[in-house]
Amino acid sequence: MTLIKIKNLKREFANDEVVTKVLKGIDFEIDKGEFVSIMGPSGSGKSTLMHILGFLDKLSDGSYHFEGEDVSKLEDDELASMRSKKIGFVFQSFNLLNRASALENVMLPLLYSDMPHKDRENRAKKLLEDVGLEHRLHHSPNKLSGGEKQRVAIARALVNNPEVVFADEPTGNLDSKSGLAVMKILQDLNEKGNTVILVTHEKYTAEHAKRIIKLKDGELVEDVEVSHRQWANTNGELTK
Amino acid sequence: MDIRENIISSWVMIKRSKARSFLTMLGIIIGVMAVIVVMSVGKGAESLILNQIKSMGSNLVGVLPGASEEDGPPASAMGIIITTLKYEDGQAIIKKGCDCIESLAMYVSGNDVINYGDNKVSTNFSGTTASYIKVEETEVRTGRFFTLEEEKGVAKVAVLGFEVKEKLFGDQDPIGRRIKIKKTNFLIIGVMKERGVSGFTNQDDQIFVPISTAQKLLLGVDHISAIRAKVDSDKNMEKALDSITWILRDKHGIDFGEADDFTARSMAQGLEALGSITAALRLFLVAVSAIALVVGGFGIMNIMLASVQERTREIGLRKAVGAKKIHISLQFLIESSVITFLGGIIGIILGILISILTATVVKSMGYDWDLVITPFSIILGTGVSIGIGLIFGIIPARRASQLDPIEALRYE
Repeated sequence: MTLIKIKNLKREFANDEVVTKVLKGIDFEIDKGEFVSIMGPSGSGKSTLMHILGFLDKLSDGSYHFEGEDVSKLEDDELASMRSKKIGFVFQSFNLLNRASALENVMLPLLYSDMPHKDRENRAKKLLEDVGLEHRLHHSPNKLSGGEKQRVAIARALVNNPEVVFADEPTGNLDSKSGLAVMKILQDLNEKGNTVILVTHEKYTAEHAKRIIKLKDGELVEDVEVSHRQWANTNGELTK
Repeated sequence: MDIRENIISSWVMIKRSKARSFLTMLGIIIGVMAVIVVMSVGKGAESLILNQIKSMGSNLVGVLPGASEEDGPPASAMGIIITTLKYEDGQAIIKKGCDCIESLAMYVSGNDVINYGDNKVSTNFSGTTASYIKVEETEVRTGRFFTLEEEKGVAKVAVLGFEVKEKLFGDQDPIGRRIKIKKTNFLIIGVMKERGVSGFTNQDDQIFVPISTAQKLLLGVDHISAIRAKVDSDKNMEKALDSITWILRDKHGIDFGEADDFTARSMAQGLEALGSITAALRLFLVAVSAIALVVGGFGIMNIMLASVQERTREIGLRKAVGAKKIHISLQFLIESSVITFLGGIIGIILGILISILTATVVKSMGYDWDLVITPFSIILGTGVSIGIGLIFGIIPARRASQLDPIEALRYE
């Protein structure tokens, strides 16, 4: 089943009199349950593409269908509502609120949902258990290691039960062992049926996915299945 | 989206930076405190004036010698001695005045040193009529007041005010003893009960002698300095004033078209003039506190704008996980309102403390001052402080809600 379908997607930024074309007409489809890496060097437009797919940004031209619906022309608050219901984000720099506990950070997206208050806490606890942090519920993020922080961030991304999880360079600020542990979590998620879209500039990280879409200078240059997939385990080791 | 959660998270923010939050609140604290104090002191001053009127009786008419402007005091009230008012004038009013005048007292006063053995006090003496007790609605504590016969017969008797008795005799019973005023011996026949301050005069620091005695033996004059008449009801005040005016004009032989040579007014009118002064003062103070509140409001706005800037990334994150503009606006509006609300509460508490202090000090000076803190002023203080948080929070909240999520997330 097609989850994401973009056609001739363009994004331009107008700055005074200079128009920068960041995405120059991209076409692809992503099915439910896929694990896709969007790969490319910096300036290739991969982050902008992720922002548009994740409803953080609007497209300039072309079309974007999500679950069969045209979402090309949504307003700010409609985009926010899509993010709230359909999307989970994992960022390179974690973006956790230091004054809140791990549990409160995970509960944050539910503040903007309709979920009753008592259900929110249970749901957030369950997700922190799933990423192995049940003993860190009430710790402030600045008392957690980098790997733990990113696991809290992943739990937060999943708390609203999203259709797609976007991970933007999730291993960029982590040592290789913690990075692999994070990749393991993403792979497990995908094995359970979640759609995961990973944005990275590293070939090695990208190869944890099933499919790689390569961008260069705002154009799609390659869209391939991964032939030799990388696998990580919980201990941060490669297994295959 | 839960307002309760927003309030809790605002509270956490405030607790984390106590000094900054306090300084932010300061303008609001001072403004609300001023509002509470002004309203309480205003009410207190009002009660003071009302109590003064009440203590003298709202149905009293006063007559002073000398003409006066429409609302101004007569010259005699400023200490100039005018001798046109006589004992016979009072008697004429008693005889011919309207039935609405229940009783009438006359006064002439001076001050001198009073001796009892080696004890000396300098005090005021009032020469008055036997009807004094009725007109002023007071009574003796011990002994008796002087009679009509003593009033007319130049009797050498005296009734002491409570404080004078305390000063001269302490715990001793003074009745039957003699004191000396201007080399004349007076027999003490009574002590007045405590009255405190009434008509802005300390009624306990006086001694009372028959008016004829005061005129002939103590002062050597034949005029009186004031008449007070008690009217049966508030409704008949005008009638009583008219009746007094016509009797006195007739007695003084004032022709039609000529001005009065006396001033007759209700006592309440005189004191109400004071009330209008305090009302004007109150208005001025309210204006000052309003300025403090507005300045406080700008302080809040400034801090909230800085806070939005500081928390740009947080706002970006909240937007990324699904917060709509209204959620972000609400968060900052609630935060500014919680700050101003807390400031308001502190201001209310300080205001109440200052009001209590004021009342205590004024009461200790012998004035009858009611401590009034109305629920209205507390509701007003709370409402105004929350309102200021909302109004001055709008611009920062709007700025926060308009942030672009991508740029906000990248903000360093």
